[in-house]
Order: sequence, then structure tokens, then C-alpha cells
Amino acid sequence: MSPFDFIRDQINESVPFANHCGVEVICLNRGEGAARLSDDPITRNHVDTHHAGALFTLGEAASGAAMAGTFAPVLLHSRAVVSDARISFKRPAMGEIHSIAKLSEDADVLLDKLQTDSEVSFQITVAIIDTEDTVAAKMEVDWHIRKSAHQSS
Amino acid sequence: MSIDMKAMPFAELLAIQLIEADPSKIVASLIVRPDLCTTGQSIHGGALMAFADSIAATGAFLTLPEGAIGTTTIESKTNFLGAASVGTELIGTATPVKIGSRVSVWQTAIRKQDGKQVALTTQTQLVLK
Repeated sequence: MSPFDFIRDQINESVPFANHCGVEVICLNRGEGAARLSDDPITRNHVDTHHAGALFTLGEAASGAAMAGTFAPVLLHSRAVVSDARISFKRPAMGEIHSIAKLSEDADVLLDKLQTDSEVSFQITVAIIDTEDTVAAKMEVDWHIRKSAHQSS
Repeated sequence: MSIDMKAMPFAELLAIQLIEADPSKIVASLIVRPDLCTTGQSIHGGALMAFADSIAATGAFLTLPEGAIGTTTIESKTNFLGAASVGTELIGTATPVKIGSRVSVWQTAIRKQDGKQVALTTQTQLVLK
């Protein structure tokens, strides 16, 4: 098992709300992550498409996977939080949905900045894609990572 | 116009409780349960956004223009301002920024009982005709 697969499994086991919604991280890598939302009536809204909150959770999961893949070497000694997120919905989303997240900046630059400044902010963009391979929503997630106190000096 | 959160299965999954539904202000509560959390027993951002979205969508529904058949979210931005741990009761209050014939814009503040703000969501609702 690769370190990325190990992190993926840890994420899938340790985020109760994602499990509750049927969101699963599929894969992650340096600068990239992907997740899947199952086709389940519990995540639907009043017009029988996926609820905006379920799609947001799917996008956030992929962004979290991309963040974890990028900062894998220092993940255990850092605290990562989402400060802001924006989502725009392009079309109703039905069936099994996927999300693909990409880091918007160079991973090495961000890792260096975390080492020198003990904190770094960056954005991850996410495409939420339906079964017809059409983008159903686009998302931008702003992350902030800070080194844990005992590691920052 | 009556509101039934059970019409939105995802809102029911969260167990959102509607407290007040007036076209000028929608108020609802949500208890932070373990299954609504991320790591560290703190509420997940997706649960917060879904809570805000459900409350504001209720407001958008209540203020639909004549002839409209429904509403759907087309854009949403959430600032995450603080954490809320298991057992905390959150109160969400949605107020309209603008109610138009094609779209309405809503802002939802989510606070803890002590008044500390946890999130602020601004969203645009499309009027379906």
C-alpha cells in the first residue's frame, strides 16, 4: 500500500459526516484528489436531485484529499482548516457524482512556505462531474495550514 | 405557504428544526451530532453549508413571485469562522439581501447559543418558472 492509499483510507475512516452522506475519497496524490458521492435518496433535495450541501461535501472531500496528498510529508505535524469555500451550480446533479480537485499553486512552493513561515494559505479548485461527464458544479476551497506548535520553532 | 423540511431528505438527514419561517427571517436549529462532524468531533463544513442552504432555500421558497414553481441554489459562499463541538446547539438565521423576479440573494449567519458566530453563508437562489 502506498502512503497516498494509506492517507486515503485514513480520511475515509475518520470523517463521520462524509460517511453519513455517502461520500468516499477515491484517490489522492501530490496536488490532486478525487471523491465520489453515491446515488442515495437521503442526499436529495425537494426536486429529487442531489442537495447543494451534499455536492458541497463531495467537493470539500476531494479538496481535502488534494490538500492531504500535497502536504503528506508534514501532515501529522500540521493543522489544516478550510477558511472559505465557494460553489456555483451549473446543472441539476443526479446519479453517482464525482469530484476532481487540483491545487492551484505549485506544491513545492507551498511546502517551502510552510517550512519557512510555519503557515501557508492556498486555493484548491474542484470540478463536480455527473454520469454524463458534464460539470454539474465548480468549487473553490481556501485552505490554511499551520505547523503544530511543537514543530514550529 | 407551509414549509415541511421533510420535503428535503438531506435536511431531514441533518435533523434541522425549523423555529421561525417568515418571509423576512427564517430561523432554524441544528444539534451537532457525532455523525455531522469531521475529525476531532467538530462540525463538518459540509454540514454547516447544508444547514445554511436549507434555511435560506426555505426563505427563497416563501418569497417566490407569483407564477413561480420553485427555487434552486445556483451559487453559495461560506466563510468558516469558528468551530462547534458535539452537543452544541447551532442557530441559523437567514435574511434576504434582495428578492427579485429572477433570483433572490440570502445571507445566513450560524451562531452558537453564546452568540459566537460559526459560519456566514451568502447564496443566490434561482426562481424556477
